[in-house]
Amino acid sequence: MNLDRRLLHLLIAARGWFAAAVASGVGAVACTVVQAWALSRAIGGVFLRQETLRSVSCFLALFAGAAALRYALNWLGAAAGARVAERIKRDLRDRLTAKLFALGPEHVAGGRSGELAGTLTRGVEVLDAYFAQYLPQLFIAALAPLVIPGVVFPRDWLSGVILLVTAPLIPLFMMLIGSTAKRMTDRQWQALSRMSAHFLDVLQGLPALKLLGRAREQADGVALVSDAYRQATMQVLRVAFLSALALEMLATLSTAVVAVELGLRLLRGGIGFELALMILILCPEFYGPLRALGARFHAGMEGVSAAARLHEILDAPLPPQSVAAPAAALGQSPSTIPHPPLTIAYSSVSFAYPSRSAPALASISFELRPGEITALVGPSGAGKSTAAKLLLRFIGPDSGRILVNGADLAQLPPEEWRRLVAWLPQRPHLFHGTLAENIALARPEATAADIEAAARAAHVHEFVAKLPQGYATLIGERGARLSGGQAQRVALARAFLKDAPLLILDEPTSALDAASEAAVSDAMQRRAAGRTTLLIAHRMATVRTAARVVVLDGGRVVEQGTPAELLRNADRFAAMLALNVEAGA
Amino acid sequence: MIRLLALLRTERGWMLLATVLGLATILSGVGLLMTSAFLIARAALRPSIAEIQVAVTGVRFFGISRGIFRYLERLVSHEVTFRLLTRLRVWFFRAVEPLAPARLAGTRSGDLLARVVADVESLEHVYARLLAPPAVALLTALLCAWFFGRWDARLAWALFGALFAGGVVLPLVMQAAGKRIGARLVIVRAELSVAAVDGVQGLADLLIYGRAAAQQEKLGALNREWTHLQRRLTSLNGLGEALLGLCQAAAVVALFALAAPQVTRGALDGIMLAVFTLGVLACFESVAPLPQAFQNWGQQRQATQRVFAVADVAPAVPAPLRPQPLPETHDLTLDDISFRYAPEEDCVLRHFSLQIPAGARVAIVGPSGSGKSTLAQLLVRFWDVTAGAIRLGGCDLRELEPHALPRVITMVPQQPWLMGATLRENLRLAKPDAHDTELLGALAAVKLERFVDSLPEKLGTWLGDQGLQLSGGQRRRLALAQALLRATPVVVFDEPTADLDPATEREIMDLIWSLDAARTVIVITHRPIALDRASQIVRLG
Repeated sequence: MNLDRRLLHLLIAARGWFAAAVASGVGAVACTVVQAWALSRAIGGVFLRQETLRSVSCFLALFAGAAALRYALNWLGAAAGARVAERIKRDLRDRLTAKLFALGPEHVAGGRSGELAGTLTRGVEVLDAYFAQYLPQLFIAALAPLVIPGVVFPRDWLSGVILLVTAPLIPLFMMLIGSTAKRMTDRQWQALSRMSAHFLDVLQGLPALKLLGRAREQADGVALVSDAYRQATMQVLRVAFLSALALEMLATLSTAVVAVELGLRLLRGGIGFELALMILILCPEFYGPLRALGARFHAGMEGVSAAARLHEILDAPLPPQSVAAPAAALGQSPSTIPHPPLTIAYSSVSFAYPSRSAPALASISFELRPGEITALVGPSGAGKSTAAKLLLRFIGPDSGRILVNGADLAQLPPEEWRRLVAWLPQRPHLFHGTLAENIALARPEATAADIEAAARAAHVHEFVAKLPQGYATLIGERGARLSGGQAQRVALARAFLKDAPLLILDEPTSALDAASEAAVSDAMQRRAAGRTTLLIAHRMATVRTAARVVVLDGGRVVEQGTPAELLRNADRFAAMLALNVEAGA
Repeated sequence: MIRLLALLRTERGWMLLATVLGLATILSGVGLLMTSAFLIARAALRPSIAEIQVAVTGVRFFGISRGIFRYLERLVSHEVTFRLLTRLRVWFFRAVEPLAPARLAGTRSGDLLARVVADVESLEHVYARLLAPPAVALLTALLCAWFFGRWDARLAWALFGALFAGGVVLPLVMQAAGKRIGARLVIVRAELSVAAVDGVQGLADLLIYGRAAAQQEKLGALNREWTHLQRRLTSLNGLGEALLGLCQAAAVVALFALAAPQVTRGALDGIMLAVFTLGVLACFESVAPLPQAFQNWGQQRQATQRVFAVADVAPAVPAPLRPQPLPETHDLTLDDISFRYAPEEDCVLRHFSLQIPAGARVAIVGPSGSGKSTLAQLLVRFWDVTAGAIRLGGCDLRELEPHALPRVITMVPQQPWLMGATLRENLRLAKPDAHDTELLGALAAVKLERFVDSLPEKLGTWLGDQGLQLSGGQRRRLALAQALLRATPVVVFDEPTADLDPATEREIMDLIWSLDAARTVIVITHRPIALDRASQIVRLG
């Protein structure tokens, strides 16, 4: 019946409004009974008792009054249901947001981020129909049928039996056919989703198809796939719509059976006309809530499956040392925060991702010294980014320690620690806002001059100057698109503006051409003075700026020293450099 | 809107059938209640059983027919919807194909194209959500009014008036009332979704730059406004539904007040009093979907405008009036060409000349922004030069039939695109009649042989968004395999090694330079590596 215990648990917060929604629904059904009685009395009066319009006008007024009350209750019910949905969605979204932020980037970033952002918006939205419509309707459908037979039974037990016997069949059919249809759609889901994605896919591929001389004939392909999609979907729908057929059939056939049965008994004088007419009018009203429930059955199914995803996120275990834990919660006093200059030592640090068997880092030790650039190099998958993430406190070491000026990093409150860190990620995120806002992320109070200085240092100013709106240009999700290299330089300016004693740069020049690469490397070197810098790189042009190089491979430190020393050893570093000299010549 | 309907008139037979079935469904409901009322009222007068036999049959018939009509109507209207979708897609594809890629924003921002496609797809509902509800409601109202009017014209007007008030006036009033909330809702939804994406994808940056709490607060504020607005809109819709119910009750009272005196006077059979009253109750079912149709109207109109705005753009590369046949020789001449993307923009290329004899190995290098990729796109006529001319075998590219050019020049783009289809189908895009052995041969040449062997479904493996995700290097190699299969006399590679690690970079370049010596190879790159085998190196910028 699409009742999810944990979703129902959410109702507790809004139980008052929910009760109001259900009560007004049941009240409205009671009003329909009054309406039916008044109307059949008025009709019967004029039809059989030779009464005039004037003499039955009180019944007509009662009908109108009951109708007014009924629809007022309906409105109240809708408004109350809307309040339930508002309250629950708001709380749920707030809790999800807090949870995602607490889980931290390690859990949230990557391929699933789009899906998670969607869950936060649309995923919660699906519950609107569940709480505002489906759930109240479910309770009303369970309670309302008791009201009408309650009125009908004492007066005419035969019609009452017909109503009571047919009513439970409706939800039964709904469930039976609903689950069959669901199995069919599930089975065809992959084929269907591939076909529905085909059109956009081909349109996006138009330039490529043109290059292959295959663009024009794809129109036939579009028609073919669309037709195949239609046929496959119709096949599913033929079964899926059977539930609607069964519902309609039951409701209308029962009405027909009641009408015929009433007519035959009227013929023999077994029942009065007005009672018979009242039962006939109530018949569609009786099936109404059940049919409404059928119409919202889908909303119920969607709600429950969306809820499963939401609970999955809410139940995800927090990382051992919460990356977003407030400083106070850790009981740390700010005095333990180290003062720059910072000397950082990795001491036998190991880390393994839960999803992978091999450790990402196996007991690595090296040191970052103030005023120096330390370059971390190695093939992809060597553990370079993992080492940086540990320093950023997105993850914590499984064993070993990272010491900052001799103090264990794990003992520092993450928020306080991150004040000392500026970071250029491999794929920086540009926020929806102006270029200036994006650069000034760390210091919203920065002046235009500060921003421009950072932008010049990161070679952002050159292309910003060419934009018609300069630093006021909107970028990000719905703004102008920047190339990968431009985005990286904006993030570099962001890191420069923060002016923190520890600078972590993850492949800062991967999307740049040779000239920009050299310019940015220069800027980095100037910035490194007086700071501690960790540089992750696979391009040698940037590595040459480093005072020290740590070569990682398979999660282990295989070599370290100055670039010159490593070159003399003619080992791995030298081999990598050779490949790159050729590449970067 | 009219253009849209004209486009869709091919499906009018199906639409008519769906409308008739929709009408039949509603009328069955009306018929069921009216014949039932007739049956009971007639039976109350205690005639012989034979006299109510017809009514009993009618009740049974409508009792069964309604469900069946409803089922058929839903099937046929979905059939219509999917047929319209096919029609719209094919039409849109044909309209947009000449525009790609120059006039199609898709090359620069994929989501814009995705939005237009979402618009195209939303128009599939134009029948079921926009045309059908008013058509069925109007026909129901006319038929019921006609039926009532056979007894008394005033009854017909009262019924029609009530249906009009509930089905047309009320939705319009409610829509006007909800307009402000609706407009704000659209804005807040967009802001919320941006804030969610920023919060999730930018979480690392937010944490490092101390802005996580601020972002969380922003999300919370948007969340509160969004849910609050939605609550108000839902309540408003509830009010609309309640008012429609009141219209229905008012119609019953009005009909009764009109008919009752006539029954008293003996001008109207008392049985009909019951029939009319229940008939009124039943035919309001037809106007219930109208508020939704009114809401859809605005959305569908805007979607239609956006779709036609794209489809109406003039192509950037017009087809020649008298196309020349493809030339026999394949020397390329770039004769003093200049190019800019739009009249108000700066020239990307200025007075550039270059001779590329057939069979040459040319490397075109230069920093980013120097117009290299533009040059590649000019060679395959994605754009036309602003001044000067590009000649192939002495013949201006603009004189050639645009669809014939790919038979001579293949370009491997910077970001190779793979269709959501099997590996085999992707390769066959390059050579439709190629046999599996030929495909495997091409894969072997680009050193993908072992990779394909490792796939459980070999050439039948599904690629693209919903299939196997390939690495950048693998995509490049596949594109290279396509180029091998095509075997055109000229091949252009746009940045074939960007984002690749040095070892892969080297391998790909080796493959490119060792293409069959009769073919012209043009490599465009910002990374001047492995160019030792080029016969000609051109620097741009």
